[in-house]
Amino acid sequence: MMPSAADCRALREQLSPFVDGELPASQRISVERHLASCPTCSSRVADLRAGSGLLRIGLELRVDEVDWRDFTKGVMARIAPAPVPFAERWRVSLRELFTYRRGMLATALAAGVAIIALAPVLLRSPAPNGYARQTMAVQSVSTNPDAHVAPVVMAGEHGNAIIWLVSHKHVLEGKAPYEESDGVDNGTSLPLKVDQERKKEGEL
Amino acid sequence: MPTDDLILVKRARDGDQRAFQTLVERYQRKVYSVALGMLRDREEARDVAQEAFAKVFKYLDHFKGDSSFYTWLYRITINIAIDILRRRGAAKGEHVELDENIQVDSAEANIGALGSRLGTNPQKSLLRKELAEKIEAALQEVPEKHRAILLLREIEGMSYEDLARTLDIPKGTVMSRLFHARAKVQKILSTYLDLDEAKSGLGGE
Amino acid sequence: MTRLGSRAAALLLFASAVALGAEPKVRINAEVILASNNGNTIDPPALARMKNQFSQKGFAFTSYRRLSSEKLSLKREPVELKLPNQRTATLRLDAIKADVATVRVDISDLSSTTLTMGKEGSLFQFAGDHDGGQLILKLSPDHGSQPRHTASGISRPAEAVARELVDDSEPVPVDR
Repeated sequence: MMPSAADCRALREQLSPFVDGELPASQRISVERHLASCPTCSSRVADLRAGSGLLRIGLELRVDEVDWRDFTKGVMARIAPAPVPFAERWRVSLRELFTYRRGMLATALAAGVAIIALAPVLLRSPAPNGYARQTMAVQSVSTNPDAHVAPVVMAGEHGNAIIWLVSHKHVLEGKAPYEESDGVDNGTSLPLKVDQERKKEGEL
Repeated sequence: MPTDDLILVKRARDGDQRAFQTLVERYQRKVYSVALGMLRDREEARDVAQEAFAKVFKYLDHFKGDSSFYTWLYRITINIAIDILRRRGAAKGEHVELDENIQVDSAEANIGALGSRLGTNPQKSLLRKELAEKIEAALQEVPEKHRAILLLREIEGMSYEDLARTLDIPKGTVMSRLFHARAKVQKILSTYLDLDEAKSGLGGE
Repeated sequence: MTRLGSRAAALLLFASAVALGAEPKVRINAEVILASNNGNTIDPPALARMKNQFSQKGFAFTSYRRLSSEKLSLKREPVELKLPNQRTATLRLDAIKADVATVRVDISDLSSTTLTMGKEGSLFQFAGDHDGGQLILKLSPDHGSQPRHTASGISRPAEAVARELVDDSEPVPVDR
């Protein structure tokens, strides 16, 4: 079923909410059906995703340049009435340590163990486990050129990251990305359709 | 997550500064990204982002807690940013609003090109630093209200419903503004990537 | 009291020994998930959150099934995770600097990703086709301390409309 240019025009504005997953089910299904046989609109969807990816990557690069601990301190400084100088804070912490943990320390002292040297260790967070940073961060991604995929890194909530591997082959060659098989409706998201086709070609 | 935000807000209201700091750490990167996308200047963006948190803290008592904390936070961020843009005298914002009704057919010149461009080895074709600058520049070409929606959607992944709430506009407006903002950015990025030569071979309309 | 004292001393010495440098390693959770359009199974139900996130990003998968889940302890020595699609995920700890762990994930013949671990944030790495769908390797933190927020799903509260919000933002400068 060849899609007409009129169909494409009518659908154009829906592609944006489609990519965002914000179309009601019935509309989403019509778009998916149209995409199944329309390379032009499929490419538009790929463009939308690529545009999103580039925008996010671009901004994330800038985010990585910032010293976030410093930023947080800056915010807290704006809201706190009188900032406590660092040396003063250090002294306070030691005092607290001796006040609240007195039981254990006093006992240790009684056992004759020198703990002063260990105080800095105690004041740091417990045993290093690699998780000093607040949020996970992707540093770099590279792909195998023979795989003909490009990584699209997407940031989610809670510091999540999705690394999608998008195949450009079908777009470059202008092939229809989807072919129904066994009457099973498999064709929805773009990566899925592409991989079905590549599987057919014996690539995977 | 939103429920946890509200728990932290409540604790912060009761004087728990550590709770507020947790909220800051949770949202600082994204708030900064949004501010940066709006203003382009990194120092200004940092300033606006910190100011947004400070304002939130100041008005914590007024936050009723029967809506999401983060829509409130972003609304404040966007307001401060737009305020600065207006004071800058960005009259561009006003005029370009008219764009909304103009057909975006010119974006059609390179269908599929952006998507296929991403298929080539990104390390070779895009200098990281250049990309950041080009994105920031492209964003400046988008009218401020469209820019705000685009940023909140892409950075925070806000649902259309939340976008409507944050910006106090109907959902239909959210949809059309996103559509136009994306078309504009795509057009600009395609130009930057010199895709007129690298046409993918797919026919235009 | 002396016994308590010596135990406390032992604890302190132990803590410092650990702090001052046992073999570097980082704990991590690795799950292999199959995302596809074959049916609507979300198994385990906790994956509904993942489905939500993914659909927000434009992925229209209808089914998410976790195929495996394990806790790993990564060291410099690479750890191999066989994936059901004949590929292998190789994970190793690149370095720990200032208590920040850098981890490297290679998916055979496909991609190589480097990430720094944090208290929150998971990596969802696409790892090729399988069984009519896509394999996704999810790497999550396992830092042993309490998670800062509960895993109770990410759905936005379906609250009533914005009038309240307008009131909330009253003290804030509104658009002039």
